[in-house]
Amino acid sequence: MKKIGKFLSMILVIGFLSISIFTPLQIDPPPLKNILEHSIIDQ
Amino acid sequence: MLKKIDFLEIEKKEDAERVVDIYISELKKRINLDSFNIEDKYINDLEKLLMEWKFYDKKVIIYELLGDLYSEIGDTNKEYTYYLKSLENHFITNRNDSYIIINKITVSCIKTEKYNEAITFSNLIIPLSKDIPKEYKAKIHYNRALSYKKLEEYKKALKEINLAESYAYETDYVEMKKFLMLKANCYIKLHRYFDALETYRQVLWILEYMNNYDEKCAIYLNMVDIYKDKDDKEKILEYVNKVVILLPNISKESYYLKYIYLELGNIYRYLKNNNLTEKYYKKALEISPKDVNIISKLLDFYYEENNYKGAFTLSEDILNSKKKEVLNENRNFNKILSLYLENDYIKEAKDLLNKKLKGEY
Repeated sequence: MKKIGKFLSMILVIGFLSISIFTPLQIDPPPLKNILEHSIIDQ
Repeated sequence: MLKKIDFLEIEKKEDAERVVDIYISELKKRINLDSFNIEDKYINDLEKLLMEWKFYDKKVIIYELLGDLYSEIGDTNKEYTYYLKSLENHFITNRNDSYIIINKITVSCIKTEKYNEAITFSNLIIPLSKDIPKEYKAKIHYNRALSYKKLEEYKKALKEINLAESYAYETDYVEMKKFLMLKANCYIKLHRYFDALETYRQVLWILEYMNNYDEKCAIYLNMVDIYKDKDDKEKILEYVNKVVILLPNISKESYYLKYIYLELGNIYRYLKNNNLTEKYYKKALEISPKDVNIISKLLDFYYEENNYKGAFTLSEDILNSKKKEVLNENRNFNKILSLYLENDYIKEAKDLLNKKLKGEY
């Protein structure tokens, strides 16, 4: 049972490590919406 | 004032309209005073009233206000739903200012990472072009650029930014900074490093006499991307140090703060400084405890460093808390499962698998 567990965990670890290559995030500015710009609010 | 109204007694359309007017002025007040505590009953009564009566002009207003309210609260699903309801009524009333509500829906889509949908909605604005003020056109093209950038269509994004800039000559520097920053980010993705650095310098020049420390930090960290590609560790440290010095000046409310911490974690991970990696990932998580991306980064980090103690603590926290959506991402589920198997926690691994099979995760 322990051996199967170790084997399974190895597969899982290899699986996700192969995807988790270091990638920079890059910070983008936020979308533009001014909350007080109501189309009709002041009419 | 609304508490005194008996909703069952409203029989005439004029009375219903009067009640909706009261709601409108109350909602406006709440938004202006940042008072966002709102009872479900308050919304339910309003919803019932709006379903019973057909005053579309009022519905346009009230649904937009509800969208704004939920936008401020941070409930993006409700924000999106109410803006959509407002738009439906815009179409019925045939108003010529629907570009504002469409832009709000576009922003809502971007916030929930539905970038294709954001572009589809903003396409609806194009036929309305003659009614749109120039400064607003700039915003719309910028939001389209941001969506294309997130979809990794950098050339299309640059075209949209150029359009935004062409309409933005009357815009103040607040928006221009964002256009330039996004433009430089696209240049990096296209490996046009010289153009990227020039553009970042333009933004820093605008920021020189402003106290926007968060924007300065975001730019420095984006500049680090260029030096990371060149593996220039000296320059990377130089810019990271600039950021660390400015950190205490950044407001806790800043949009950028979470991303600054997360990116600092990423860079320290690249520099193989484990203590600072963990410190900054945790700081990002403090700001946004349910952020799947941050949790995944931290879990990845613990795994790669064989830090089982950290991984266990975080896994237990995920399993015991309301962050179960983190497990919907298979990679995270696999990581926790393999953690249990690796450490011979067979019963826990079985429980986890069973719950997954039952659809609990």
